[in-house]
Amino acid sequence: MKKRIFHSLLSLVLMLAFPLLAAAGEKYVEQQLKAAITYNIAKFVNWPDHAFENERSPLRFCILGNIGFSKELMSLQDRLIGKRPIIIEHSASIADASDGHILVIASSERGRLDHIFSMLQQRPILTVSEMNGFAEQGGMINLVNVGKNIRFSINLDATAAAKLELSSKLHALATEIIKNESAQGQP
Amino acid sequence: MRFRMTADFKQSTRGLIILCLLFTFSLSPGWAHENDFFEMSLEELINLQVVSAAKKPTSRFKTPAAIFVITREDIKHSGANSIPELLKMVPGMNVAQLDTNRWAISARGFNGEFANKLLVMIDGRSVYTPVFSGVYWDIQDLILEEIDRIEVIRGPGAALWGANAVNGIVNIITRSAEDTSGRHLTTWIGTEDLGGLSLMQSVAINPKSHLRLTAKGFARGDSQRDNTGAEDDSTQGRAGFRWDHTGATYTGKTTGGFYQGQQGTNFDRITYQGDYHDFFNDDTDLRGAHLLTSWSRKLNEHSHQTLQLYFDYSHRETALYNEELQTLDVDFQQNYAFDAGHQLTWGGNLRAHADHIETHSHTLMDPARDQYDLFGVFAQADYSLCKDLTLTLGSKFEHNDFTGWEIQPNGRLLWELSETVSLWGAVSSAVRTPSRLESDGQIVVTLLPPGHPENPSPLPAFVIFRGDDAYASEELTAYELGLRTLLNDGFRFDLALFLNNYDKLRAGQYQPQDVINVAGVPAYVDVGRLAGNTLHGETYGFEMAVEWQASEAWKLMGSYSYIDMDFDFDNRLEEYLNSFSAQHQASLQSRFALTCNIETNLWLTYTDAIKVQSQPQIWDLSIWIGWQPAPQWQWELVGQNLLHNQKKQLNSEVTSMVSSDIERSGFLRVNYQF
Repeated sequence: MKKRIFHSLLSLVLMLAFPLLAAAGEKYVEQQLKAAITYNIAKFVNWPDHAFENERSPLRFCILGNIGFSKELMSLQDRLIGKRPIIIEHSASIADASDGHILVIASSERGRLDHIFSMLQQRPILTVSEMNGFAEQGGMINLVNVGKNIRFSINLDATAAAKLELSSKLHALATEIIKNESAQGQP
Repeated sequence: MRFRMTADFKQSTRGLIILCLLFTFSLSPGWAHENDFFEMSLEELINLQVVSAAKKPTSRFKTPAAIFVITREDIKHSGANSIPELLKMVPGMNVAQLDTNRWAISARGFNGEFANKLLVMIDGRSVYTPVFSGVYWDIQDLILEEIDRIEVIRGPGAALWGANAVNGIVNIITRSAEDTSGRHLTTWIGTEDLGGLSLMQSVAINPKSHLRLTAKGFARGDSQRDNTGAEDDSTQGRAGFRWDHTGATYTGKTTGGFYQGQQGTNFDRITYQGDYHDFFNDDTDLRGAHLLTSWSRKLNEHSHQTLQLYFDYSHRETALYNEELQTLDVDFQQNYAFDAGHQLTWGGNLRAHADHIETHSHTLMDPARDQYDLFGVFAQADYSLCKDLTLTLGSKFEHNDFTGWEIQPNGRLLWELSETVSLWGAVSSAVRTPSRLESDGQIVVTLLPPGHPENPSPLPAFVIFRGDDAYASEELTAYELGLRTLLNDGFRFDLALFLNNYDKLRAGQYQPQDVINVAGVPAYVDVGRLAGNTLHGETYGFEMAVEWQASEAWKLMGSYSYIDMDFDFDNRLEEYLNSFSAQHQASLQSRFALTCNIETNLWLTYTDAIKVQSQPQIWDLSIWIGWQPAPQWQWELVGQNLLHNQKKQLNSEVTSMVSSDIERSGFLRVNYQF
């Protein structure tokens, strides 16, 4: 009798499971991953002391142009990294972003990249973008699609010039590290 | 008979009905939620596949085992204030609270205070005691904010983890010191969780090295027994650290900790006189410490080695016995990742135990001090048969001082039908090695008064379990099947079926009965039961879990599990001792964000009746309300066991260990990050 109950329950479960199998769909969550990776990278970057007023002043994320994951990034507002609350802003121009700590640059800004970098000079601002070849052109963190994963490459020349310190964890996890203007492959 | 079956069936499907409703709703599209990703580590995120990421990293979706992961998000919303409370959300786990401090926890049946088929590890350190084969849950504690995740695998994991990973493994993994920057202060005040304070601080020693210091202290109030205070209140304090080093070649973690506590425990010094009971309350004193260090070396892009070393000390003084245990363990492991998706992992370990058991009452241990070792090797290969099909073969060869060599192989197959559907199956074997008690000890299990169906004599009969050197390992062969699917970003479904075939399970073999005279007058009968391996049988059942992000603000998590057993018990005591698990269990959590900074969780649980104990079914509810007025602050209001004033959840298998009624409770907890 016990086994009959078990079998009835089991068949019920399987009947429920099969429509699921048939209907199993796919949907992309790329944008959320990119926002979460950007947030996580920020945890492992050290800004020089002069970049902040005090140890509790906020960490400002500035978004330049239309990026795909801006909505996802906005939900980081008010989270903490260490003791610092996060502030997310859209910057109308590069001049607006000069008091930020992280600048997320849209792919559409590709043509103005040289102008952006020259405006930033060597301010301690971490530049992040998903545009192709961003790190090679002098950007610091490049989010890249590798197969079905989102990975990132880093340009240590650019971060060193801006006096930003990247944790060894980022070195270990980056797919590519650019240093002394030469690219080094990483597993 | 037919009528009864229908009634049974109705009752048993109550949990399913809730889930059916969920399925119906699931046909409407779900929405993804970003919170889960923000709680994950960078390592997890970069390994996450964009398509199959409703919640779990790909690695978990691809695990050919019944795995459930309690994430930081789950811990935050659960309102739990201890590790055992968290485990209640895992489908198929049997979790019962015996008194304020003691818990009975098992997976897939065979629960009890001395449940012996579940292996528990904290950061790679086994906290399973070889003295009685089980886990003292009252001393397994951490600051909740420190926990990265708890991975629970139901079913055997002996091929990797070794003996005693029979019905399941609980892996508690803490966060790296680099991940918990700054200072976290948590304090709480409440009716049962009377009050507590925990402090955690992380500092960067240099860009490659980080250190976290932790301290925690708490007091718990007593439960109820016969409508008065059970005097099982407790205090406990602990301090610890974790040091992480991330280098180009070497990566290491080192953890250490110390704890001390005192708690009231109720005993029954069962006696042949009077009404056969002698209830009393006594303090149980606890202290312990551990030090663990683990280093990984990257050999090349395809291979790395890990060496881990730990020492653990624990000391427990109770009214019945004092137990001191020291453990030294060395583990080595090497991984190779070949092209085309093949992988090989092999390793070895050596563990030495030294114990000292001083018995006072209702227990005996001879010799009182002993030293015993365990060593073994294992190898596991993941072989990619074709694009979607992965075969895992592995085995552990382990030697212990009680039974010699034990071989524990397993074979697993994973079939990824699509990026969102995977099927897995496994055949595995595992053993539960004898404890010191089963080899060298004695314990009074219960007393049968005259007139009891099992006691034909006119005198009271003491049932005494006696260990035996010849006692062998318990053996399990498990057959499992599982299905995981992600219907869309917001909907996840997980099903696991199992058939466990047990052999050589512990039973008590009758010994000649002695009539014991006291002052020249026959006083009682000594019914000895010698440890033997005569019990065999099967358990079978299934567990299912669903997770549905109904909208950006609303998430539902449900689980249901069913278990039944097919055993020919020799006598009623044998049946009693092996049947402490509920046939049906269900859990439903509804997490709802009221506003952007106020969130709630309603958590309903159902545990079926435990017939051998005449323990009725339990519906229960806990409520969590979290308010985050500023990024640094979080206030939480929690109500637990809300549906009853007080309720007993389970009795211990040993009559001398007395359970009490767990009361409705509430607490206020404040978290401050600075």
